Formats: sequence, C-alpha cells, structure tokens
Amino acid sequence: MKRIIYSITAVIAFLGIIFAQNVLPAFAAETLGGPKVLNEANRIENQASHAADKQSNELQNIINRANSLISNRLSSLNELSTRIQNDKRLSSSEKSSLSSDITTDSNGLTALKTKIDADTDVTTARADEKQIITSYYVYAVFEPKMRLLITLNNLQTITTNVQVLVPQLQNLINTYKSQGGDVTQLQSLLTDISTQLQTINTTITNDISTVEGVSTTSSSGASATFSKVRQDISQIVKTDFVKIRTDFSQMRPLFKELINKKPSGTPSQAAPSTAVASPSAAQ
Amino acid sequence: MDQQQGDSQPPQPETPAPSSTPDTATSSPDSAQPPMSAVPSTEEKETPPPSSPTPMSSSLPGTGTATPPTAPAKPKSKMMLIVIIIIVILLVVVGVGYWYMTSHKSQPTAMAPQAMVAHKTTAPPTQPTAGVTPVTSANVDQTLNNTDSTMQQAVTQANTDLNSISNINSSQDNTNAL
Repeated sequence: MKRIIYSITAVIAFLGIIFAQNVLPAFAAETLGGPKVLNEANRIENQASHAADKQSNELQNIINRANSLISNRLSSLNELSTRIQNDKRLSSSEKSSLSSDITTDSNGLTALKTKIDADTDVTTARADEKQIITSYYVYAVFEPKMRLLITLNNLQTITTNVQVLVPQLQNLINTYKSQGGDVTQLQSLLTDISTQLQTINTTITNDISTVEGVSTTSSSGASATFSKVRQDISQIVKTDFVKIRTDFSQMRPLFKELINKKPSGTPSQAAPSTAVASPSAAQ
Repeated sequence: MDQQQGDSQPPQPETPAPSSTPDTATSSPDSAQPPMSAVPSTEEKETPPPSSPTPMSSSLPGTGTATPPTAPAKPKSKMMLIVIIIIVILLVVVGVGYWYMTSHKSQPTAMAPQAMVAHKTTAPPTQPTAGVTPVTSANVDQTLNNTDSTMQQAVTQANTDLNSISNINSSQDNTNAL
C-alpha cells in the first residue's frame, strides 16, 4: 500500500514539474505585464539604431553639402583668376598680387575639403562647414573685392596714360602760342583735363586703399564700403572721363585750325624734349 | 716598270752586236733575249730561262770586264721617288681629310651662336618698348582720337565689371541655412 502511495506521489510530482516549466511562464507573461517589458526593450533598441543611422546620414549630408559649397567657390575663384590673367591693362605686379590672394583662398578651401571629408562626427563637420563661409566670404566679400580692384586698377592705368599726354599737349600749345597762335581755348581745355585727371587719380588711389583694407573673414562693413567705391566710380571717375573726352573732342578742331594757319613743319619741330609713350601705344 | 727603265736609259745601240757590250745585255730583259739566242748551245744550258727577269746572271759569265753598272741604283731611286710620291699623296689625302673634318666641325659651332643671336634678336619684338611718339602737329589729332577711344573702352569695361559685381549672389555666404 505504501509503495502504491509513493508511486502515485512521484508521478504527480513529475507531472507538476512538467506543468510548471511549460505553463507558468506563459501565465506570468500574460498576467504580470511581460509584453510591456519586451516592447520597451525593443523600442529602446530601435531608437538607438535609428539614432545611429540618423547621425550617420546627417554627417554624410553635411559632407556632401560642404563639398558642393567648396566646389562652387573654387569654380568662381578659377573664373576670377582667368579674368585677371586675361586682363590687358593690369600690370604684372597687380596680376601677381591679385592672383596670390585667389591662390591662398583656393588652397585654404581645398584643405578644408580634405578635413571635412575626414570628419567623423556631426558637430565637427558642421563647424567645418561653417568655416567655408565665415573664413572666406567668397561671394559676399572676396569676389566683389577682387573685381573692384581690377576695375580700379584698369581705370588708374588709363588715367596715368592720359596724364602722360598732358605735358606733351602743353608743350605743343606753348609752341603755337610762341608762334602767335590763339591758344586760349586749348589752354583752358587742357587745364580742365588736368584737373579732372587729378580728381580721378585721387579718388581711385583712395578707393584702392579702402578696398584693399576690407577683410575677407568678416562680412560686416564690406557691403557699405563696396557701395561707396562703386558710387565713386560711377559719379566721379566715369563722369570725369566723360568730361575729358569732351575736352578732347573740342581740342581736336582747335588744333586743326592752328595747324592749317601755320606753315607746315614748324610746330612739329617743337616737339617736347621728354618724349614719352602715347596712351594708345600703351594699350 | 720596264717601260720606265727603257725610257730612262740613254740612247745606246741595242740591236747591233749584243754580245760586245754587256751594258746593253743588262739594260732590259727584252733587249737581252736576242743575244741569248745567239750564244753557243753550251752556254744556253747554263743561262736561265728567258722568263727570268735577272739578266745580270746571264751576262756576267760572258763579260768579265764589265764596269759596275749604275742601273741597280736607278730602280732604288725610282722606288724612293715613288715612295715619296705616295707619301706626298697620302699627306695630301690626310690634309684634305683633315680640312674636310675641321670644316664640318666648324659648321655646327658656327650655327649655334647664330641661332643664339637670332633668338636674342627676336626677343625685343616680343616685348616691344612703348612707342616713343611725342605729340606733334602731325599726330595730335590721331593721338587725341586714340586716347578718346581708349577711355571709352575703359569705361565700357568698368561698366561690365560693375555689372558682374552686381550679379554676384552674396546670399550664398549666409550661414543661417547651415
């Protein structure tokens, strides 16, 4: 009898253990909030993965955008360099100075591109991307500055060439005057030309100095400076150029009149002793 | 050689009595053949064949009183003359060759400086000096006209440059979009 009771007890215990192993976990999951725990764990895991993906994509986007910004600026700088090299009025020293500034910016941007391409975190890449703009200001400052300097240097070259012409014209007028010709109008026109040239030269010299002083690492104040210089070019230089051209057009018939009155060959022998290049030859 | 020897000999009788004068026998092989045929047969056996170019050996036995001939010295002097002529010719050839080589060497050395000089002379046109043209009554009108055109071009170029500055999109340097 005891043996039977032990056997039944052993079977019941065995079945109980089997039951507990299979049914209780499912019971616990259903009744004690197991799915919530699992979902929470999965959610956290997905969030971490998503954040990593997002950061990686953002870094790549910054790098791509930075490369595009740098490429556009390098292209603009190349165009500017070509413009300078093809200019016929800039002196070799002016070309060299302007080209040197362009080369410095191009090299800096190229080095910055290399750094950004190697960046591994978003914060650093974003800071480097900002430097593309804030360290160079290619469009807001550098290119306008270079183009203004090109324009001012060209106008200064023309002014210098016309100034070389003034003493020669003065000598010719003096010759006609010594021969009894009426040079009053010619003298007045030449004096006006000389005055205009002086004004132009002063304006251009000051503007060149002002533009050269503009920093390319700051955009503040550059715009106002450029506007002022452009205003000087339009209202002073170009206007005075027009006056000078008008004076020239008035001088030509006066000279013709004097030449026709005088015997041929006499005025030409009174050529100035300081023979210099004519402006037309310098072009 | 034989002809030269015959030409250089003095005009002596060759055909009559060849045996009486040994000089004639030794003068040339051609002239020695007739006497050889006239001598007795005993001597004919001792004499060398006619093809031999040594007539001395055939004439000596028969003529003991023969004076030492000057003929052997003549070929030597002629040989010397020939050798001298050859040497002179060689010297001339060497001289001509040397002159030819030196003249060929001198041509390139002469061309190099010419090329350099030509290069130097072409340099000034590439960088022409500014035209030294003083303003006179003859060119004042043209000078003023050219200056006017130059100023007009400069103003046009300045307008173009200023327009290009206006066309620069400075908003590309705005950091707010980053």
